[in-house]
Amino acid sequence: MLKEVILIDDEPVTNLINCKILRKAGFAEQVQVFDNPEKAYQTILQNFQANRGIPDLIFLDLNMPGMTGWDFINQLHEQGCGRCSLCDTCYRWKVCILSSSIDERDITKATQFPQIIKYLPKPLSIEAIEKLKANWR
Amino acid sequence: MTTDELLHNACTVFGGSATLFDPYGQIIRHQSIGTSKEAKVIGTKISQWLHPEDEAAFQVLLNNINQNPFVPLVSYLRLKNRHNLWQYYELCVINLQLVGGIGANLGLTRSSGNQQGLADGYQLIIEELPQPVMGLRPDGTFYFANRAARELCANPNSPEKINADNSPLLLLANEAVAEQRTIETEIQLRDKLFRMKAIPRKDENNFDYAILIGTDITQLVEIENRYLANIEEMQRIRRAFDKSAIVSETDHRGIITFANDTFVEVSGFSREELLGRTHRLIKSDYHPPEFFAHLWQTIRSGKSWRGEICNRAKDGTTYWVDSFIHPITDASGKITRFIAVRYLITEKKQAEEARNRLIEQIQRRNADLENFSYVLSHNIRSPVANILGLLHIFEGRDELSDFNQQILSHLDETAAHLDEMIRDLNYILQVRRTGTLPTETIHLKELIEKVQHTLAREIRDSGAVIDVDLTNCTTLQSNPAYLHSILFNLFSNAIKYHRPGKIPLLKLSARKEKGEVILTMQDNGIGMDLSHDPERIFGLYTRLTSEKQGKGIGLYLVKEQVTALGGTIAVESKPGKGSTFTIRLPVNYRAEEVFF
Repeated sequence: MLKEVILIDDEPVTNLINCKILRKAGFAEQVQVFDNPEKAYQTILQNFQANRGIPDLIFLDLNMPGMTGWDFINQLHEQGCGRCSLCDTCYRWKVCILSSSIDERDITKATQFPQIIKYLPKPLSIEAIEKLKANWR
Repeated sequence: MTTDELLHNACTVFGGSATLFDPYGQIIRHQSIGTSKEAKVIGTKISQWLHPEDEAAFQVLLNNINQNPFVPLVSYLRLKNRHNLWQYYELCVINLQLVGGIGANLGLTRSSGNQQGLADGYQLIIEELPQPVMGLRPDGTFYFANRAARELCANPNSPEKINADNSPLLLLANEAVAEQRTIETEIQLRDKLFRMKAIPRKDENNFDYAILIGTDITQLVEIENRYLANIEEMQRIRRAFDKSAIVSETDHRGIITFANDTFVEVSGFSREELLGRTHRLIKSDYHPPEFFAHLWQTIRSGKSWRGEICNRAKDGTTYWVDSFIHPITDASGKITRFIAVRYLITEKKQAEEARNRLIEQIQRRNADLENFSYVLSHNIRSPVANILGLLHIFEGRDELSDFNQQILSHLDETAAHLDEMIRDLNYILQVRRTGTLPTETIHLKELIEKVQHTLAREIRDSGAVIDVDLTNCTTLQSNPAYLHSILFNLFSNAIKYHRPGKIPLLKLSARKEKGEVILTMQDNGIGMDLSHDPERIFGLYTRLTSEKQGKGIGLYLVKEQVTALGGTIAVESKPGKGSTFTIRLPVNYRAEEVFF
């Protein structure tokens, strides 16, 4: 079981579903939920900069007002990086895209980020979580 | 007989020298017995060899013979002999009119005192002339006639008379005699045209006759006619050109020196307004200054310029011309003027602009559609995903009444169906969006095996038998994903719509023909009634049967993908008789850049 997982989605209904599924599947000890991506980003970055560690996995929605999922990853890459494209620090960030988009452009784009380990179309299911657990790197 | 032979014969018969000179006394040819002074004499004037005291007498002689062709005149004059001494010579001069196209006189000289052969000499010359020369009496008999004249117009039965066919000659002679003046006219003899001159004379018995001298102008007339025809032809071309094109000419500074009617008509300016101005008069604001700078740079460097220009007419309206501007240089290579030929292309240009606007519009709509496809795949799908998720985490289903359990189960199905529809639509829009498709060599056998593998469960459950014949075609160049999807849908349909109680039998064969791969898929299924609209089967959300569960998207996708691969699909089917699909694909699919 993972220690700390973060859920970022602007829709409370989605967060409700995802929280429930994660708990049901026994995926992580602690699930922290944000419906504001900006706030999530600040919190995660502050913890990282204060050496309070980074979450084991971030479930990230793509289409959010203010800060999109892509913005989130790009900023994280700029700030939470050891200054290279694929340094150790970057490698430690693990993001799972959890989006309702099934557009191939989004799916293709996701493969270009080293931090993104998985692209899951909504809704999140226990089967998908089981697979994620089985293939944990 | 050549002129040289003629001269040689003349001086031999005559016993002296023969000289051909032009009406002004300049020597053209010279032959003399026993000497070869020719080179030294040619080009000089007769007067140079003449004793100064005899010059006046010679001039009188020249004037006389110039007015009396073919009448020999004799005079005694002092000429320089071969020892550079003055000696009296007997000089016989004859006006030969035209010899070889130039006016020429013949001078025969010999030492005075020798009386024999003078007449013979000039008669020989006249006899051998290529021109017809004759003396013709009013009764039609010849006073004399040279060979050319006899050949052309003597009566073959009585050679002393003129051929009756040539009465125009006689009419001419009689007219000259009657009016007692020289008459010239053109007369056709045999296949030649002559300029015929008739000079009234009296013979030794004071009877009238006329000397007729003909000059062959057949070729001259031909050349002239051809020349006139050329001019006429050029004028015709020029007229056609003037009608169809705007033509103007400027000097080297660009000041208009010529403007044709079309220019006046199109520009709306009068010719007076155009001449003396530059083309700036009709300049529109369409082109930047660099455009004209480049134009001038090109034509000033001696090159032609071609391009499309937007001009402004006097009334302010603009018009487009396809322009060709050509610099004209003088002998030293300096540009003296420019010729501009322009064709009106306003309509073409307007059509072009309309087309561009249309393309822009379509591109905008297409962007909207792409945007719509994104909205569909994300925004619309988002609540559907939530419904699915909520149903997923719903707890306590077992405790619900049967009725409510049924409702929840219908809700599951409906939400799943909605999600599937959105996914399919999204996929279709993706096929439409794909501009170029990656291609590779596809081994049909492997591909079909893959499709069968994907459908393994359906094939097993239905007991379907698939018969594949690829002996006439094993590979093709195409997109594997599309081809997979096409075969998948066709196989899946054939199994899904099999006749109840019958084992589905699928026959797939491939063959190559004229650069195409023809895939034929035959089944023994329920078939379809295509009599109303054979194309309807490939429509979106078209289901021809209500008995079976289908989404009506499979064949639509097949058609879209076959089309994207540059191919065609056709179907033959009858209810209860099964269906046959024929797909034609290019053996070598080369992706084209698709606009939309």
